Amino acid sequence: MKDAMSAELIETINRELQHIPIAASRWKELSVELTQLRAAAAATKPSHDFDRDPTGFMDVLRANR
Amino acid sequence: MTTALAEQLGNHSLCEIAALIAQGEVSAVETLEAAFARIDRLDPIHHAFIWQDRESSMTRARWLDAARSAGETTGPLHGVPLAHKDMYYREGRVSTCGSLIRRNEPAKTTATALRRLDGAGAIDIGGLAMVEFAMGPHGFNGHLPRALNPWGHNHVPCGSSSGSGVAVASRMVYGSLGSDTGGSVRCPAAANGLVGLLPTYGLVSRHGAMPMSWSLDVVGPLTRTVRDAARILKAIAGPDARDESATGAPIPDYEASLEHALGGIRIGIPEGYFDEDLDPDVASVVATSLGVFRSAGATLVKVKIPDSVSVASAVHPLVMKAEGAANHRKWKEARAAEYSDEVGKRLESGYFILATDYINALQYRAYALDEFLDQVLSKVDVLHAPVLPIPTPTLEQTTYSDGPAYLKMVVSLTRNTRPINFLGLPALSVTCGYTRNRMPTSFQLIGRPFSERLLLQLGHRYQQETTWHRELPTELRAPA
Repeated sequence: MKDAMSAELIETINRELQHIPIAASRWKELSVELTQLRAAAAATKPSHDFDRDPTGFMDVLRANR
Repeated sequence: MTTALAEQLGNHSLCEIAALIAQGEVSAVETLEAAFARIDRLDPIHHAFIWQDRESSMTRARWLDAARSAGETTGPLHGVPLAHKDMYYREGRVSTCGSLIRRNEPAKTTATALRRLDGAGAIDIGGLAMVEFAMGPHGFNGHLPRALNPWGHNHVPCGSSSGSGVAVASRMVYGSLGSDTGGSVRCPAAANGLVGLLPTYGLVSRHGAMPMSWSLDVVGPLTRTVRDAARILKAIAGPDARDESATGAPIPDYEASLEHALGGIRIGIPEGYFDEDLDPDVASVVATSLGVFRSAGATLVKVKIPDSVSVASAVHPLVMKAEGAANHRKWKEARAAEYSDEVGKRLESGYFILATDYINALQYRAYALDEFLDQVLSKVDVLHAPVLPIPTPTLEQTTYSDGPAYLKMVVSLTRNTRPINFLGLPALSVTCGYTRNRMPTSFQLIGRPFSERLLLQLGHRYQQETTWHRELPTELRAPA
């Protein structure tokens, strides 16, 4: 599936890079959760603005005081 | 100290007991002794406290009484016993954060919020139960005795500020600081029949508060009345050089402006998101509360909720987990066995979130906030919505499992609260009745940035016209 975070991919990243102790039974659950989070992130793409600062929401809060 | 006197003093609100102390009707020492008597009677059942420091707090009460006798008062909280979620640091003292990992580590600094409450004269008597590292909405912490909801021991107190909700609702203390990253002040306030205030992101310094998620964490009070929340907010709000997010605007006297006519105020009734997946019982109770505002002169206006709120709700966990996982990295590598099973698992996904997804999610916040201000808060002054979209769950419903019903329940608890953290807006949670299971439920008023004064005015007016906030929790009532 496009954009899915497979259990195998997560396990490989952990083995090679992150080194977090994670039970083997968790890979499939993490795959489901991370695929959902990737989908959530994808939903933000249409409104992406190159010039927007990641902390820009604080400026919006202050500007609308 | 007789039980009757201890109960009598405990039934006063924070502002009422502060007035009695200020007038000399009761001393700070007597007030504190009464609080200890109530804690002795109730905490072995309700498990709100992780620790208490009776010796230091009594020393402070004596000092405050001596100061008052000498004609000096320290501030509007002079002699009032408070206790806080055990994640507010005081230099040299352990704040466990509800964890095993921090149970022996004294803090290196004092939280600005605690320092300011000290300055206002409050007495900090102990650390309250919380979900381990504030990571979970229903209040359970496998390292601690289960904190019990005084409205029904078979129901959860919600969290993560579970002990704050239980201690204030049980009349052990007069108010408490919680923290709200996705609903952790408003949800336990709703479940325990209290007022919960989420200030605008940046109004209250987080210096010295345990970080869970730097861009979402907000410090806020749980109290019995809106007036009490206004008094605590005034004490803790304001700029702080040790927290760059704490901005420099003047802080109004929230309490002095509570009495305000509601004519011309527009209250938004959401169409979309907040009315979806909503339990009909909760919907009915929350809708009924609108009549109070209409009778007081406010105008009710239906307002369409933009789709960006749904996106914000979905992407909030991505930001929270990425930031939380980064904070916990060292311990997750080296001390994983010291996390409870549930919280240890909650952190895991954060280590596999792409940096670009995380930064794009942060960038989305300004877009979503702009849209919410334009499409919602330009048409109404506040939005009125339920806090918990479901009746407060039972202990059995929240027993950890990997099943879909459990996961759906956990996600739904913060469905109506987490988008507001994502937007950084303020919200005030106020009890407005009971669901069929005889548990309290609340509406929240969501306002423009830094509109706490208006939110408090509206909440105060609601409490002037209703009596929910005066009712004694079921488990505290004497048997008939």
